[in-house]
Amino acid sequence: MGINKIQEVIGIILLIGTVLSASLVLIGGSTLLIKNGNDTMSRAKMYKRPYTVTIKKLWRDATSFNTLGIIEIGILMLVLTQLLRVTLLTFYYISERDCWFTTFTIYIILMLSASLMWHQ
Amino acid sequence: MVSIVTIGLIWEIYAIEGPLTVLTFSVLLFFFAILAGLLGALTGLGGGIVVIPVLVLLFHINLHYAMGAALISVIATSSGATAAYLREGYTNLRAGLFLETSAVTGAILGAYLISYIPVKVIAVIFSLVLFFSAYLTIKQKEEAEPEKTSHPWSLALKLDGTYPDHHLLKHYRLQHVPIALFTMGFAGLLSGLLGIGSGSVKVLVMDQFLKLPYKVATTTSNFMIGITAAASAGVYLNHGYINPAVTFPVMIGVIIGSFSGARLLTKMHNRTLRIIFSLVICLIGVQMLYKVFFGVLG
Repeated sequence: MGINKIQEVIGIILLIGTVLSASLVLIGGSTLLIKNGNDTMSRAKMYKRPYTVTIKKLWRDATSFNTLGIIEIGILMLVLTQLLRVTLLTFYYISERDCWFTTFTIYIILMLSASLMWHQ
Repeated sequence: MVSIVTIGLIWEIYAIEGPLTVLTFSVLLFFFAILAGLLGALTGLGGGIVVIPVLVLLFHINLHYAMGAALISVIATSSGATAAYLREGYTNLRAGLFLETSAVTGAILGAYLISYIPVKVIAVIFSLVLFFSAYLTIKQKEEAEPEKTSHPWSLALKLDGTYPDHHLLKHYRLQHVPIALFTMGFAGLLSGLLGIGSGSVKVLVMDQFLKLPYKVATTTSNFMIGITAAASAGVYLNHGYINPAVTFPVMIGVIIGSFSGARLLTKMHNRTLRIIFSLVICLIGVQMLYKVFFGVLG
């Protein structure tokens, strides 16, 4: 597979991933507005920052079809699309036996994964 | 038409001060996010750097939440742009990935540092970046003469490339690779620390140090931004900087604004407009500084 083909595939992945993510965010957000649209905005919540989410909590929220959870999954999907795109490039560089760029892309994957698994 | 929009804007700004429903709040956020995305695309700075001051100054949203929402918007808009540009053949994938190793390192470090740096200090750094970005907007871009030799690292890693120019493929050779790598880490640090894409810094590094042709620099920068921002996003998520209720209208608004702005940009190459936009960015920077020293930021 030539680099041009890979670039095409990455482009498609990025597009699908972004559209999917935006759709999830939109669905979750619309549900939020339908359910809680008439509630008064809690200013305190916007000033201070008690909101914490870990990836584990995110999965729990999403599977319980919690509205915020759907938005969170959409957000996570956006990040995972980036991971997927770099992973694809890693496979490409492995197939090309390009040691340096295999190393570079693996390093990027490790950093992206470390950031997702970061604990306080 | 302009007067209607102005009256509408003023009414909305006042509306923000009173009690709001979740719906009104989200709609207002969405509307201003579109404007921010539009301004970001027209100045070439990206939605992130414009939307954060709007959220903080106008909506009084916690700076961390604003940064989180902006960061996610940046990933989304850059992904869309990259998908469009990759096919055109300007993006230098190898150079981008090589520099990205440094950028993601900086990004994670920057995101990590947020919890150790006071909000006021972050706001000041942000204002300085705004001023610098405003300067970059009006800086004249000159196409330099193509270089005759490549930096040894560029030869070793095969970073040199070609780009299409009037049905021809023009060659370019990279220079000063090590310093570009180092400075890119700094761009990543800013991205992680402030929740922006740092596109303007990346383009600056590629243009000034690597001597990449301008179109190659901008498309490669776009390619990189999504990955850099994604690197900080994980840290942001785990530290609770990303509030879905804030992120939802902002992300969708900035996407729409950036997309519209990008389309408008092809029709607007007016230098006067760039100067006006630059002044607006400066004004926002001044407002941020004012809030830091006299207001209730942080």
